[in-house]
Amino acid sequence: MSILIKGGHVVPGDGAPELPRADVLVSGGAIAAVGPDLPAGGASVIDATGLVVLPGLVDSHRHVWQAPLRGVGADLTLPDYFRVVLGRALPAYRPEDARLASRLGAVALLVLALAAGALITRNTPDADARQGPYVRAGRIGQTLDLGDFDVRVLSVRGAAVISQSGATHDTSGIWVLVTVRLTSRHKPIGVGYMALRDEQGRTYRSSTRVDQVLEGGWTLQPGVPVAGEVAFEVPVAVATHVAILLAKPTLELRLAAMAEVPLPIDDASVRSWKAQTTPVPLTKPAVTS
Amino acid sequence: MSGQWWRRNRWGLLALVPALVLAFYAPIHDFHERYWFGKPHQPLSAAPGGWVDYADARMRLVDMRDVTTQVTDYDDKPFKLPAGVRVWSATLEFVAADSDKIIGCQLTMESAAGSTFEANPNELFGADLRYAGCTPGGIGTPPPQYKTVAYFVLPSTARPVAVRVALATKLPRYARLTP
Repeated sequence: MSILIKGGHVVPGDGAPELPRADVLVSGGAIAAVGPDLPAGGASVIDATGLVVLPGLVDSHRHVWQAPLRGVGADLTLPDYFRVVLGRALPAYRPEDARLASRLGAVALLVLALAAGALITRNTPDADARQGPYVRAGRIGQTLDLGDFDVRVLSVRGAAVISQSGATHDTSGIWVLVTVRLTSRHKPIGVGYMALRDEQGRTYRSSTRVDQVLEGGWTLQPGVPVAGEVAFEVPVAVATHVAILLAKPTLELRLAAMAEVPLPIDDASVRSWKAQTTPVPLTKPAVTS
Repeated sequence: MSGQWWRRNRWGLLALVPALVLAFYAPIHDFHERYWFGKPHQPLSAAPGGWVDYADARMRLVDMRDVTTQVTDYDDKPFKLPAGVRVWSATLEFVAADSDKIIGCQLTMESAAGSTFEANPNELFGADLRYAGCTPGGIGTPPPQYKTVAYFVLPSTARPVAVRVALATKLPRYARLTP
């Protein structure tokens, strides 16, 4: 099928002079001829009198091809840009140069996007941080209100060996024994999460080597405070920089109220605990005043 | 916005309605399940000492009393209780054609201040008290009418006013029994 676009103002688009009144013959999907007064033959005729005829503007305006020019003439004014980049660099580009430059530009864009993404994700709070627990920070001896219950960390001590129900438990690290006082406010609840956190953010849950009834195994009755010792097994190197964390949920800690109390443990204490080989009995939970 | 805008977007706006319903249904349903059906919110009660129909059974609170001085250990010696707490017993009577239907009920004592206290508390570990529930226990066919006794630990300052019986499958309804 052939089409004759007749009598339009033809802009060839390839640098050739414009033709104020010419015809364009399209045959078989390709431009077969451009010129004045072309014979129609069997082609269907479109009257383009008073109209502009130009090639389809596919991808007509973009700058990715300029990627290799990045940094060249960064201080150019707009007229300078037209003169230098479009007036001198552009005519020197061959189609294959433009293709290669565009691909390089696309790769650079991808790398930049990934770098920007990494920068954003590393420097903005992630979902865990946004939905993290509400921390009530305090110190030893201070009562912290966690909504459903109150927490007070009473004391901390340590040992190289602990004992419970006649069995002894040694460690290659150090036992940190924290006495906490817990009081439910209005309804029976259990405290499901007890852990130590070190300076690097690593957490150490209460040891499962001994029976830790206070974590998850003791239902606190409202207004009946219970105090007991919780045992944590940690490396010696981190014992001087840990804080105890307590919360009601066992696993789902997002948006939960959490107590955080730094434990004042110094090097000398750790050394003396480590040197002591006599088993230290773990204090059982009991109702307190 | 012009009438043309509404006409142009009418199908999208219509589609938005079910889309919003679907988008909000899941979280609202989840919230409803967890916070309404997951907890006791609707008490079923009767006159003091009266029978309450709940979970295919009838139940009532026969008696509620301070038994602090009567609790013993397994050597029949007075059970040592921490200072500042009291032990309360609640005697419940049930009429149940099939007591299996109320197995696993949760018993709580309610104080005048609205606090609740669980039966069989850790504080009574070592006391010679039977683990309380809503079923008679024992071997063989249970009787259609029986009593159970539950024990609670309350602060000395708390005054109990009712016992709640709740079954997970019947929530948010629960039986609130008063003596």
